[in-house]
Amino acid sequence: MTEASPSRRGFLGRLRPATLVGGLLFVAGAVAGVAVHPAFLLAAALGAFGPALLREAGLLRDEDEFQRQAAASAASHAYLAGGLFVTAVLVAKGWNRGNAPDPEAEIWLMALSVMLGARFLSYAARFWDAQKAAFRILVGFGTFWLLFVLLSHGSEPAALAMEALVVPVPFFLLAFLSRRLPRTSGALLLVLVAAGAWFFGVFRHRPDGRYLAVIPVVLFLLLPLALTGVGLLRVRPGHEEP
Amino acid sequence: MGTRPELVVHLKRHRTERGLTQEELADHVGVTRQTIISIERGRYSPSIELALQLGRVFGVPVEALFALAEPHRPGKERRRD
Repeated sequence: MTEASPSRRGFLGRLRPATLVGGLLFVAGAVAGVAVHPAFLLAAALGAFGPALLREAGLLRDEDEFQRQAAASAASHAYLAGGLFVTAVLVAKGWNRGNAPDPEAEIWLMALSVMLGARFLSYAARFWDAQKAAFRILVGFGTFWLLFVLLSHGSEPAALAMEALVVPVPFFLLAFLSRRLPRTSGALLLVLVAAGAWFFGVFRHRPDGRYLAVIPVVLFLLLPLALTGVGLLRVRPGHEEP
Repeated sequence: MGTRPELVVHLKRHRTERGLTQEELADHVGVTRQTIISIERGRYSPSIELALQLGRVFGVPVEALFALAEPHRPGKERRRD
């Protein structure tokens, strides 16, 4: 067969099964989401993000290095397009409102916060490595909370000891555990995040539509810890830091 | 950071000499045909692992497939066979 001869596999033959299934799920979910019930949009989301999530988790290995590079480049462009678009929406919505509350804008702000936070943490994990980045993030969190506790209860030794045990110490323990048992500490972190999300009522329905109160919790606590936990869970056996 | 030297790709010459199609070569090294096309056109620099695999297919060292361009021609575009 020469280079100019027709390929042995047609276009459909070259499509990866995950891409095909994801595409079909996305179209069906989007159509049903609009025509039948918004709950079907979950199927569309599964089609759009499912294959990439499986690849990130290492459960699906259907891309070669060039495809992975193309996907990384596309993700970077999507980040820029999404971030700039959300920023433009926020500026446009707030242009004439000033500081008046705008619940809808708060959701957009939360989306932007998630994008920025996820990018920063993903970069840190890639630049160092997941285990080292996780250790530094957890020590950073522990130090921050320790300073907070010291400043707020410095003159009350009993309260200081109690609060230090409850807030910063678990972060330091998890940091040191992450050096020895990365996947166990990753799982513990995710449990901690789930408990935190429940405790702070992140997903609780708010009749007034005010989500601004949970943005700092999501951005500065739950998101970094969740991504750190995922990063630790992805450390492969035998690849732990010595 | 300095400018990286241009990469000269001899992959296509070796492939045609061996009578392999892009798709056959892609199957040999476990990548897609589009990846081979992109390497041959100089649009994509393969990883060391893939370059070594390609060298193994043709029985030649990696330097026979890929080389750095002369440093005195910085403005020149990526060359290919």
